Amino acid sequence: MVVRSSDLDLGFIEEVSKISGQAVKSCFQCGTCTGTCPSGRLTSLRTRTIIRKSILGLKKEVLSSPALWECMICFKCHEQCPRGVNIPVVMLALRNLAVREGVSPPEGYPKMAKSVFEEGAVQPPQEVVTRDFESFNRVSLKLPALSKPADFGKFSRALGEIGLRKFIGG
Amino acid sequence: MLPKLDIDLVEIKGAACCGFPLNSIDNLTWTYLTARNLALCEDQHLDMLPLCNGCHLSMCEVKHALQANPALKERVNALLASEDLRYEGVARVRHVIEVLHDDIGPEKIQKAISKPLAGLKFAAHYGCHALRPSELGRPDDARNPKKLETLIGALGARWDIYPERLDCCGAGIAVSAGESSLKIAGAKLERLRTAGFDALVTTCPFCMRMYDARQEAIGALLGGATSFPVFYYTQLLGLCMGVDEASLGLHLNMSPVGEVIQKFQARTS
Repeated sequence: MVVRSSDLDLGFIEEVSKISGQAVKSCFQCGTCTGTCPSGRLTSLRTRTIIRKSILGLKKEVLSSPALWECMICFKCHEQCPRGVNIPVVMLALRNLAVREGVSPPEGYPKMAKSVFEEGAVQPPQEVVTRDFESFNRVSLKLPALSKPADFGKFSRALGEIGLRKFIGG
Repeated sequence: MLPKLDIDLVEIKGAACCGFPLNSIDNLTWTYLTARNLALCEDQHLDMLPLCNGCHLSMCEVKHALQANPALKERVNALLASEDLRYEGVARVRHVIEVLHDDIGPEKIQKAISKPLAGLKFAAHYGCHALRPSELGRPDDARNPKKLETLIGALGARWDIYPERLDCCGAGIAVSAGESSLKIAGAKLERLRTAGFDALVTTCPFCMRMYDARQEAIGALLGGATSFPVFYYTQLLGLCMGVDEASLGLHLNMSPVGEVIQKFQARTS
């Protein structure tokens, strides 16, 4: 691949390091992370490459990469990294930056965010069908109602202040 | 089950999501949601017992972050003030495995059971967030955890380690790469089927969802050979203490747990 200096944002790695609180530049590309990664075996995620491209300053390419969303945040790489970089935290920082730049995350995320904003949980209580094909919900299972914020108005106002409303398009 | 072993459980009033999945979208949103649940515990004078590994990790990470960053703590408290809440960082956070192993203890469990799970062999699954990141302090050792196996032994059952023991269940990419997440969970089930285990045991609801509730979807994707019994540890504990199956929610497991329950009942009758 050809990399032009016009593709590079040299301030990008500083931004990523600051937001994640990690010394990302200390990576010496040993590849232990990619070798450990259980997701990368099945997905397009190449952990080492994401870090390398971030350090080089390929901001647009990194932030628009679907691989960012294929990290399972399992921390196996972090346990093995000889530099002690908390790579999952870097991935989360990259995701936050991507969203701020207008990248659309996988659709499950806006759905969950909307549900938290409106119901206080990532999804409302479900009806389930058992292996014997019987249907149950919380009421028929005699479970108490789920706890929820006492004053929903105040709860969603605080979330709105942080900016959640903007993200879910409200 | 915990009340039967002298641990009082109280619902936190007003609790909402800890926001773990929303950490991918915005760190502050997640920090606020998690701190909010901790503040509610402080307000209600409760220790917190998150049942899910992800929630437990969120609580521990946010406690650490707010202690290290006073400016962030004040920002969070400004948001919490609208609900008359304040986060100080004094609420204790416990994990189910810690409560069972460290607080109650295997000896007390062994004495409390009336019917041991003799003759059955179980594979323990801790789940990533019960073990990592190790520097934060997790319920068990990241490289060689032992507590869940010890707890299985306390029920009179056999256990064994297996190469995939510390593998992730794939939940983290269930939203973004659904098929891959099912394949990851399926790989462990496939292995355990032929490795001489009777069932998989976990304490995390999200891992449980991947291995148990999604088992049919895994089978459809991988071509069938992944059907395998999966339990919550507390379900097995309850069986050994003589609790009825309905109370233990055993009718709700989607995996074929009936085989194991039958074996258990055959041995004790």
